[in-house]
Amino acid sequence: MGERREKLDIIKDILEAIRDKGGSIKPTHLLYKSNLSHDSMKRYVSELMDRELLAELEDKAGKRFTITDKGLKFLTDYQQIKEFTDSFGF
Amino acid sequence: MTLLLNGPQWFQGIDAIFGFVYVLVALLIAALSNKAYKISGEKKYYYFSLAFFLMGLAFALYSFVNWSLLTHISPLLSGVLTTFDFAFVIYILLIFLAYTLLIIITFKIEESKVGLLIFTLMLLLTIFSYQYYLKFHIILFILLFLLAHQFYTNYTEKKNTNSLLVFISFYLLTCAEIFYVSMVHVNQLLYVVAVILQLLGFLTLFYMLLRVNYGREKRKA
Repeated sequence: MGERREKLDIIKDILEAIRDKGGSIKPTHLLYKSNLSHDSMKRYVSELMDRELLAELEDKAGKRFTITDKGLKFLTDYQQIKEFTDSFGF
Repeated sequence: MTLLLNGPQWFQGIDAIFGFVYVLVALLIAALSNKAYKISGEKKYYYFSLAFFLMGLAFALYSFVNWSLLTHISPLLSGVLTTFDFAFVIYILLIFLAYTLLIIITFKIEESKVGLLIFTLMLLLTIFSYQYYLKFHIILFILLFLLAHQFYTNYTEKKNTNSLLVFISFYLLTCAEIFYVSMVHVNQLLYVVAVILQLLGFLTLFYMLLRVNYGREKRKA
């Protein structure tokens, strides 16, 4: 069994999944890629949208989530913060 | 005996300069932890940041008071500082608050009342008692020993250089407290050893911060 993911890691996984799909992703794909339950994913997506790290887009193809500039900045900062928090055992 | 102007006379003032190094390191850690709070939204990073901010504030006060006593910048200020130990009391308050927060976060204590109890007991044991200089450093030794042990456990799990540096820095800070205590009954020169160990501890933390900020790019290249 894998190690329990911290909140910071889950946010990174969600944003990375969107970025790696070219910047936008369908909710079903995100659910699969983020490895979360449906309810958890909804909670995280809602929080990330509140914090403007991702946005929701609706077109003919259906609903999609897109990563914002703030979300891309998070991915740049993530490695630094992760190294820092790991050093103190968070 | 107060916390201010300790150690041999030739060394007085030098420790105040070192104090500014501690302020810089503590505030850098506070800033980085605040950044972690902003991007993750997790409260523990906020409290960790607050702990190091309070520590920075305490060291700034310590250095400023020592410096103003040495330079006699204001006779009124020097008079107040030497009559009452209020600067020392504020320093103790800030340091204990900072370390209580660190203990709560590092040991993942979820009950806030436990934190309040630790803080109150530490204050009662020091400020309202005889020989508070000694008691202050003995309590700090215990707190730092617990933190160093926890950071050692973290190092054995993570096995990376940064966690080793954090453990080494807290180990040095713990050792410094032994010399601060011994200085009272053995020799004033031990105060110099204590201050140098404390400086080394903070410089080790500073090196860890440099690795986190700049080492990543180098390792990638």
